[in-house]
Amino acid sequence: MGALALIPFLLIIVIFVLLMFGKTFSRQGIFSINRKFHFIVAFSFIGVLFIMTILAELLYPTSQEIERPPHTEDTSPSRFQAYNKIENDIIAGSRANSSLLVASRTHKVDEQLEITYSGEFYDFPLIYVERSEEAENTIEEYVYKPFMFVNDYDYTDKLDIHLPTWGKDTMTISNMVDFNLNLTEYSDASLFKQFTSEGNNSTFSSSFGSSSATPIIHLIVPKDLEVIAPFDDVMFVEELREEQ
Amino acid sequence: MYLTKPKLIDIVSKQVRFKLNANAVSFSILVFLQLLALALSFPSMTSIDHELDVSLVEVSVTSHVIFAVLWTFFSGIHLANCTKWNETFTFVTTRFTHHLSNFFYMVIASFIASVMTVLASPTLRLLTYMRYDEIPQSPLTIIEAPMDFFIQFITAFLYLLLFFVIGYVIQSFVQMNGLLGSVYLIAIIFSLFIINGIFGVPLISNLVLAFLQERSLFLFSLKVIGAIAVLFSLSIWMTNRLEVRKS
Repeated sequence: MGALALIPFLLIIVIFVLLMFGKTFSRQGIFSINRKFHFIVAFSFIGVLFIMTILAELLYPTSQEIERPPHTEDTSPSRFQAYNKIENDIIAGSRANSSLLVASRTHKVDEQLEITYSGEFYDFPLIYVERSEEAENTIEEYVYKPFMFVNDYDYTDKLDIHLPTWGKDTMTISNMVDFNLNLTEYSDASLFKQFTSEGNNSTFSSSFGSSSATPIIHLIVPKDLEVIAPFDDVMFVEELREEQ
Repeated sequence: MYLTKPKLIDIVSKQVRFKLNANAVSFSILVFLQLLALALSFPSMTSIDHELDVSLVEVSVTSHVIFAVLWTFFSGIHLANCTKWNETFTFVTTRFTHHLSNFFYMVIASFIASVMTVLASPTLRLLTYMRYDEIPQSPLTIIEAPMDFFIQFITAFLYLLLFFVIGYVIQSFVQMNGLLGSVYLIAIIFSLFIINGIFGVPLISNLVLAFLQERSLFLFSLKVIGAIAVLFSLSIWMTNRLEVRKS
């Protein structure tokens, strides 16, 4: 497509040269532009536009057939509910059985766990640390992905989650959410849509809005494990229970 | 007195053909502007959310419309300028046939411009699909809403013809009064703003909104036809006082 985008520019240069230097070339006998040429240019352009219009109608899906992510009207209540339920379940002590669960893993640990983070501050996940008497030298790790709404569409399924990297007594988190979206919005000229059904009842919005949450990591660690974390975003479930 | 009495329709059609040929280059300019608009319709990607790494590209046919409106407006000015005025003396004609042929030329030129502008929309949509992936929102296609396509075409034609005539009238006014015409014109527009400021009567905005906020195509057509009739009569009335060829 890169080369295709250059076509208008090339045609502009050609026509510009013809318009600007046409008379000079004509005088020098290089070539001559008669009036017929201008009509040929105009009607050839209309012909090309007709062909492009037919191709656009035949080759590409109608506005109803375009593959779209689910609309937030349909998914947002369940997404919000699922996300809030994770926190409630963790505090309540029950294992969150969520559609947002990405991974559940078990790791060996000695006497301490150091959580390190490299990345942007806004990418830092919510980490819940729950101490358990049942866990002996093992850590249970549950990773939940966030939701992602962009312009009324639910892109949660397109989120790519990078799980934390575990070493000896260390958990390293680095840019957990990988989300790259190149969104395109196409619109007709509103001036000419003044009397069309779409123009009068337009649902098209060129504004931008997004809503997202951070990933959640739930760690069930041995009762006496020392947890070293660089941020205050690590929450201890027992403290949360006491606050409630 | 004459062996053959020329018919009005023959004179007008001959003059329209002449004007089309004389202004042929303007159609190449229109194509040039439409291609320029096509190139400008593909902006570079704008990153709108750095945290989420979301980029938004807004592709719109608006630049095609703007260029078409500017083309018709300046073509109207060009059509009524001194050189074009003197060209009429090539023919054995009346002032009325001169204006009538100019009007038919404007109708033909507006028709061509509106065809190009309206067809630019599906063309741009095709190029958008070819270039970009994630397009969750898109207007209705011609297959989905064929009537909308024709309504868009009629709307485009009426708007472009109106701008053509506005340009034509402005230049006729300047033509009649020479350099002072420009001063008069600025004074009239300025006085409208003063009326707005002192009496709080927004004449210009009311006039513009009367067209832009109209929701009935029939009433809009009547308004445009009425406006064209008034403006054109004004132009004929003004230029009827110009009888001699200017050197």
